[in-house]
Amino acid sequence: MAFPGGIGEYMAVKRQKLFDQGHAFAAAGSESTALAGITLYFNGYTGTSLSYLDFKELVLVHGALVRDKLEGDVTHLIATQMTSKKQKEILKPIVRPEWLTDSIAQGKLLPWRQYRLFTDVEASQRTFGGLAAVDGAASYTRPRGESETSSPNPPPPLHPPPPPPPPFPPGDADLPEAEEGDEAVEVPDEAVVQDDASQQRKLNMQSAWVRANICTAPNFLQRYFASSRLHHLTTWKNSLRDFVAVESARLGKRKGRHHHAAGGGARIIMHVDMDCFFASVAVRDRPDLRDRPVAVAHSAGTAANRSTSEIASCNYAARKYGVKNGMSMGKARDRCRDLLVMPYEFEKYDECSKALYTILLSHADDVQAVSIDEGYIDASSSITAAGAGQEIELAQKIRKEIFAATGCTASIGIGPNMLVARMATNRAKPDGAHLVTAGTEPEFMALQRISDLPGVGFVLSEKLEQKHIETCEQLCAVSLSVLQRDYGEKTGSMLHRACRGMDARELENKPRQSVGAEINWGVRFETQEQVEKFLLDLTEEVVKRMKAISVKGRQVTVKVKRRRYEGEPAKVLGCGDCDNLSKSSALSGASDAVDLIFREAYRMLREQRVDPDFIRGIGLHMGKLEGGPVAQAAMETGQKTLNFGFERPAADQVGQEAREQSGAIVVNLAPPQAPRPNGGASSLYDRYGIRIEEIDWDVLAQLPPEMQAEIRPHLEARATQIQHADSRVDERPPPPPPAAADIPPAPPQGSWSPRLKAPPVQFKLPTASQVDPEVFKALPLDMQREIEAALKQATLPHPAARLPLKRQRIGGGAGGSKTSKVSPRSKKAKMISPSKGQPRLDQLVPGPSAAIDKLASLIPSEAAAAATRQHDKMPDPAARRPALGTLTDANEIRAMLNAWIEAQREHGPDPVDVEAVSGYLVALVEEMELEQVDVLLRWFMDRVGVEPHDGKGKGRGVWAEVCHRLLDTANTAVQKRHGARLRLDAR
Amino acid sequence: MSRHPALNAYIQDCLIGVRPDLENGTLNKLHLAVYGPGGGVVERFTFEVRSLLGDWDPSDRTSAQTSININDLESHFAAFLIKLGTAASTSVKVNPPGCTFALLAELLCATRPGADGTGARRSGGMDWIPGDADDVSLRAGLGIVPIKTLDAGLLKVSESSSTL
Repeated sequence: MAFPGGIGEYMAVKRQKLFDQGHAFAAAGSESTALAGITLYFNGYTGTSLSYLDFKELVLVHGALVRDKLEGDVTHLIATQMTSKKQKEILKPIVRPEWLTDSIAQGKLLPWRQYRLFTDVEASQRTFGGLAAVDGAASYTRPRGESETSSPNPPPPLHPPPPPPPPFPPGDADLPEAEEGDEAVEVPDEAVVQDDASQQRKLNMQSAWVRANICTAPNFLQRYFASSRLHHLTTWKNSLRDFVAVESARLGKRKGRHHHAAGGGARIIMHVDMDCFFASVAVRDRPDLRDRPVAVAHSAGTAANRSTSEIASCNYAARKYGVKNGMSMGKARDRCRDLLVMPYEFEKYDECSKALYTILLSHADDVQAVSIDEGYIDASSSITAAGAGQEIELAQKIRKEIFAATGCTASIGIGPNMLVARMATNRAKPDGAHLVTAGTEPEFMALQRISDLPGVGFVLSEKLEQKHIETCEQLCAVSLSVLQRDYGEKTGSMLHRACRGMDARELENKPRQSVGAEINWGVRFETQEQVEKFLLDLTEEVVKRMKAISVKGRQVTVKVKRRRYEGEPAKVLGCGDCDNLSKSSALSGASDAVDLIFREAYRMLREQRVDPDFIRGIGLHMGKLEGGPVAQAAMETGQKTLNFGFERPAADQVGQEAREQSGAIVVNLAPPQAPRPNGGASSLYDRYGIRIEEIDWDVLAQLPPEMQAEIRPHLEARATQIQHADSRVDERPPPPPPAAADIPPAPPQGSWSPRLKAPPVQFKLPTASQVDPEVFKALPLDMQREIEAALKQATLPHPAARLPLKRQRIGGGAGGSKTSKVSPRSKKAKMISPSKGQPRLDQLVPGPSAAIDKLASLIPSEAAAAATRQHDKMPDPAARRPALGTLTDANEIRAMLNAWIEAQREHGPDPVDVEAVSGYLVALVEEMELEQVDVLLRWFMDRVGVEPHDGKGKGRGVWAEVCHRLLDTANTAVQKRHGARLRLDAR
Repeated sequence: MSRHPALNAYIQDCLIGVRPDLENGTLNKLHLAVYGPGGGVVERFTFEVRSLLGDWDPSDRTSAQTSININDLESHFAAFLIKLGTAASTSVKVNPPGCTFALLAELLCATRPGADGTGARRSGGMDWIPGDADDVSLRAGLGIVPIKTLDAGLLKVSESSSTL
């Protein structure tokens, strides 16, 4: 072996050789010392016309050192791209190559900070930009005509995807708001000029059209939002969701879900989708166009000018020519010369959509708004016999109503879940309905193409195709683990479920999470003032939107697109390939004040340090919203409604009223059938689907007294009604006192409890060994104690015989309080036993009077002894825990003793109480809890002012005596057990 | 802390020796008694152990659970050591030179130490020499300082030191 030292020596020799080579090269051709003192490492492309070797030689002759490995002495990394992972790991400055070229050009080392590859923004935000770099580079250098034909699809959304991507959203993936405006109406040729020298497209800032259309033009925002299709789509979706949520809350639709969720029956989900919505709306008033190819887009475009405007919707006649939604006009013109292009008619869409949802709401148990022309409904309750044609009948009825109301056709897919319903819609189109009955969905799904599945995009279906998987049937043959391995855990399980037609999603209308506006088209700035002005306008727009739905936001998020290219992108005034930077911060409170939000937003925008010239898009979003129509509606209906939900209003009535705001009309929706006491509360139960019979009396008994008081009257009222129906309840005697080993869930008051009809449920206590200690430990302290007490109780063979010694009442402090025997089970018994009336909370809390009562309770040593004597097969450690009264916790005992001393300061304690405390101390000694004895005695001495070595009779009268007695008792026990007294003076 | 290897080995041997008793639940106390030059206990550390498992079938015993898990145990033992350290530091006097010490095991019943249920000797550990009550009886004037109690439900361990 040439290198006896192994790889280590080889590398050392190699390094030295390269170092020497570099030195020799530098010495031979030294040109300057501009870069002296830095040691470089090149990572990836140099980003210039020079190759790595050329570049290396260039810097060498200017005095820099170059390492071929990333060694410790490297001072700077030179890179044009870097993954975020690597960025995080490498703690050295990462600088763009321009730093070196500029430094060489200027003959001195420039500050590297200005050339940092990454600024202080989160590294993760760059990752997508890195991927798209090649595309971007290709498209902006290509001649204009070519680029348009070859890239009909809009650039991929550059936003970082919303955090958890929903499994397979049926078109419900949140569109980035107004991702790309497409108002490229008629772009004059002069707007964009080709710079021959640099092969780059340049915007002709002198062009009148450009000046009128870029973001610095007056009223840019108004025009932008008036004409942006995507902006409308998102605003609609949000307002529809609010609309649906408000309406269904008002109509009590949510009950439906509860009902059939409990019933467990098959669900009937319908997916309602308007057929080529925009195009249908466009032709509905012009029947002459019905059979001609029609598309809706911003710009009519001619084959000659190759418009980049996209087709939002085209009718079926146009689709025959191969025209598709999302296609650019230029391309569509190639396929269909006489394509008729109609403008957007946003008001009409809005109107149709409202009508559509009104109809859906009238038929459904539950509605999920997907977009203006598409939604899911749950019609389970309308179908009494599955598979008997009722589904299709209902669907046809809905379709007819929709046609009557909007003049446009809709298709409906019916299935047992959302996925299947959606896939069935594809089969139903155009203008039809298709039913997939429950149980047949695997066969149905088997025929579907994978690329048609919602959530399966171009990339994924491409990957699957490479493995010759094109239909769901083929996909079904692949195991879950393989899918998860190849496509990721989430996607894998999504595919696995989807191809079998499984989908457990519930219909829901997520409330609006944020309000914002984002503009990525026409954004061209020259000065910082323009940026500031634009952001202010944007803020005003966002605030206007927040006010419109009366919400306030607590979080401000600013998004900036920074171009990654020189010149102009393919799409005129578009944003092209950009880095997406975003930053958010929380306001101190929810706000909708323009100046406050603007100040925060502008600060964050400045912090991104993007040159105005580089900005290609700005977005402002307000998150963490407070208030809003849904919340308001809930409040209003809660307050004003009487007996709502008893009767569903007729469909046309809803249709009429749905347009109005909720609240004002709610009261006359459903006239009450009969006056009811506490109607509001009863309907409250109804609303949440609570039946009185289901209320757990144990839970009720444990509630704070105020809450009990609140709930009781309603229950009583309801129970009275039940009693009228079933008068036997009255004759029924109160249940017998519970058996010892059971904790009976007896209702608090016998007379009005419907539960009495059923035999009282007996809770079987597990034996101590069956109580999982981990679970036990995790329980709240008071529950632990309760279970312990119960277990202890169960261990005692004859609890009655073991009840504590008689207890005499102490005069004075306790007033008229009846002293009762307090047994280990007393807490429980007192709380729920019907014969003893209602417990007062204060009886359970150690206070002066209660403390005295408790002192005399259980003699712990006896209980422990009993447990030992009994010595069952399963010893119960809890049974041996010394207790004073019912208390075992040291702090609680101390609190109780404190109260005891306080209450009896003058007269001195009852000897019986002292006896109990001594007993407790002895028990502690017996139970090896010397530490507790020690602490307790020290505390007691301190409390009553006794010095450890005081003679008897000193200190403060009676209490000092008590203290000494306790000390004596404890020490006697300790002496007996350990052969010496406690040394209480130490420390 | 003991550093001498021979001493460590001795302590370890003792502990291995009491192990069967510990497992059987017959071990009541383990004393570390320090005798003064003239005899008589001048300082004593006592571990008291109480097991509820004594009468159990060995197979049940291994499956018994308590409310304390291994992490708790570790922190409990750490607490033992810390308190032991402070107890030593608060001790009033320093033991006179020439003291000796012994490890003493106190059993609940009069069986031979180190024997398992059948009376057979277990391997490991050392033979025990029967002691005398005097070996552990404290001189007058010694006071007890409780150090720590660990209650693991079925098993309870308490340590105390007795010093002047």
